Amino acid sequence: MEGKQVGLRDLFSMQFTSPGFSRELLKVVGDQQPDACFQCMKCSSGCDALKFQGDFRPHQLVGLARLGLRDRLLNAKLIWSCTTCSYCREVCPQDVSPVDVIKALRRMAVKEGQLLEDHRKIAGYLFKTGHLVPVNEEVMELRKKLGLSSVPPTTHAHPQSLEEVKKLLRATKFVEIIGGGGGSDR
Amino acid sequence: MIDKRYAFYLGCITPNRYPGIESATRKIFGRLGIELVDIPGASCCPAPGVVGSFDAMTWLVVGARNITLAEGLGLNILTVCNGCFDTLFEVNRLLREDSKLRDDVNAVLAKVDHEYRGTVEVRHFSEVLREYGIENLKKHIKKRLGLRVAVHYGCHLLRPYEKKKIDHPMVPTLVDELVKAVGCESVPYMTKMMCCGAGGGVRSAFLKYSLEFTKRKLEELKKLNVDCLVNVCSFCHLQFDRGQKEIEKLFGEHFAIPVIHYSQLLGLSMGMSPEEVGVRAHVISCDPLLEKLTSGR
Repeated sequence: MEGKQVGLRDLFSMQFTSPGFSRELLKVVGDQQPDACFQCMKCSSGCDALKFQGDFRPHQLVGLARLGLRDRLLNAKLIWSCTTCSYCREVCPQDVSPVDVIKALRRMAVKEGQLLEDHRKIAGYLFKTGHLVPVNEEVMELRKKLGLSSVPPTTHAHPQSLEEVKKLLRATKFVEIIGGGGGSDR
Repeated sequence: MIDKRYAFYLGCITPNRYPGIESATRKIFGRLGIELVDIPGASCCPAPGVVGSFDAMTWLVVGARNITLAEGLGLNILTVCNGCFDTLFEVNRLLREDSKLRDDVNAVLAKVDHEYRGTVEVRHFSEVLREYGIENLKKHIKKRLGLRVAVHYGCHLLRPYEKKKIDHPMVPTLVDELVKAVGCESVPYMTKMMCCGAGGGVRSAFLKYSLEFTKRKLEELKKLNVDCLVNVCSFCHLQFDRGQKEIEKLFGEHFAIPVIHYSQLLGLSMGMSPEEVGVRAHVISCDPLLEKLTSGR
């Protein structure tokens, strides 16, 4: 699907289908109803991401998911184009919530090791510092000027709290997902 | 009900990139007689569209740990970033609604001796200010600012409406009322409810594409000749402030539109100095706007 538009023919070519995918997906989407989509395109018609990336169409992603085109979806960089603004969830007449379908697809892709390199990097900061965006020297100076503690009272100032976060990230296997604690210090 | 004290949840961008927002927030709530209590050892929320897109259990347990810290303090949580608000609000909601999920999360939290109990609420500072009351808020205002501002709500304050029920998810008025309270005009614009472009891990993975959103909004605001963009989310704030410099580099377009978090705007109107609320530390200079304030034009 990368770079290539998904058309009607793709939607009807069933050779990529994995049986049970729709059901597998339903299990990870929570209280939403991806199966109820009737392709009204209301989500795509107001999608901001689609304005800048024409082949990102939430209704098509949901359609492909319902048809079980598992591998094509999980391998597509396209599922990472969503800013999760949730406009689609607000307008969907069927309670499908494409944004939640997309997030579920992402989690399935990550489980298969399809994590983007930049995401692997910032995830590493979470493990190393407890923050996706850690403090730096320049901001520490600014904090002092503002009359704040140079290091914020977060995991940055509480090593034992950082250890707790690390323990949790090991317990959920997040560390394995991101490939060992990576991420350089910033 | 408005509380006398809140657990002030900082997150990442606020303390680690825009501490002016943190300092302004502490001061404005102090003036209102509402105490903000630190949450020692809090971590990243973690980001809803990033960690929430990687692994659900990680998102839930790290979010739940932050909530348990506030539970320990016996205080409801106050946030100044839509991303933090979304994660903590949604984790709190999911764990309250689903006892099986709560058990699963608590089984992991037990490893670090925490237990989620579901005893606190998660609030965004803008709705707390609304509850404080616009008229009551006006009593603390020393200077009507008289600026023409563009309000940017950001996506995760209001959506999903069905769960958050804070304001209309497409045509809200909450922040517009707050900027009017400090004597500013909220200029209507077409792309008002458009996303800043930063969320969902898009900024970190595809910077140029994420800035397309930002640029589209700035293009409209330039035509409308507003004094600044006012936001209620530290991540949107970063995307508009830093983003303008990145847009210059990547697209060669120059906007120079000052970006102000509502906590900072309110601080200025309460008589705080630009230094106190940290607006001089922004990437995009706020000088034109500050000059306008001092000259009273």
